[in-house]
Amino acid sequence: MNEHELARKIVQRLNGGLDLIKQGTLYRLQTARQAALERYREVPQPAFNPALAGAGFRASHGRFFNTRTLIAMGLLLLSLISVTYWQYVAQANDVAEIDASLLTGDLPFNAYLDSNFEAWLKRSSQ
Amino acid sequence: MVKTLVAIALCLCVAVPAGAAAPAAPKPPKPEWSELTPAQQKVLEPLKEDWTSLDTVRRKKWVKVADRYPKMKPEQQRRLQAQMKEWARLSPEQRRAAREKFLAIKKLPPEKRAQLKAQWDLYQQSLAAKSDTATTDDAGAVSTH
Repeated sequence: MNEHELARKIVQRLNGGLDLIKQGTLYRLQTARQAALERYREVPQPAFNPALAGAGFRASHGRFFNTRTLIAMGLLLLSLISVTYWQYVAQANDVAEIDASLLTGDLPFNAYLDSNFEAWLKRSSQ
Repeated sequence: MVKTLVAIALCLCVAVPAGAAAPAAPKPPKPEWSELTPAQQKVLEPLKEDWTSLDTVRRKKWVKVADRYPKMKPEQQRRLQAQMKEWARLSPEQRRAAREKFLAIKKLPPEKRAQLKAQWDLYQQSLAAKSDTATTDDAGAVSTH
């Protein structure tokens, strides 16, 4: 028996059985089909499909670049820039504070740079 | 479509300034001396001559230092103004080295720091004594000839 013959027999059997299906079962099948179709229509269309089609992106890739993802990426970038900026400000404040303390301290700044003083300290501690 | 454009605009607004900051033409350093308040100018007077050679980061740092000035004790104010000019003329490496040393010493107990100050004074005295001896020797050498 080849494939065509088998298919013909199955279709014949199904068509024959169609008349035997109860009215209630038919109604349930119809309702299920309708619900499936409704759900199919509700699937959102990818926002970037038209724009990315020319660039060689597939529809499945387009979903990745939807509006929500872009906004999330934008916010992420914004927070990264904010963190970098505040780190810079904090660092600048630290340097100002260190310099102010260093230049107003008991020791003149030359004491921190004089290598001879360091050697003298080592000699005098021996 | 409108939402998409808004999202692209948002991304560009965020990304473009960050990327454009690096290669753009160098901006003149800020603030200018004339933009400082009279009080800041008075504190930073020792730096007036060198102000044009300072970049924005260093200028802003000095402005912050000047803003702290009123809260300092008179002795601290004197030390700051006395050292400011010479400090600003050091190389960035020298300043960095001095800051690192200062921070390391700052961690020592107060009595150790006081001891270090006393040792510095002693070292200065020994240098002055050496210099005096050298001068006397030179003078003696000249008079014998």
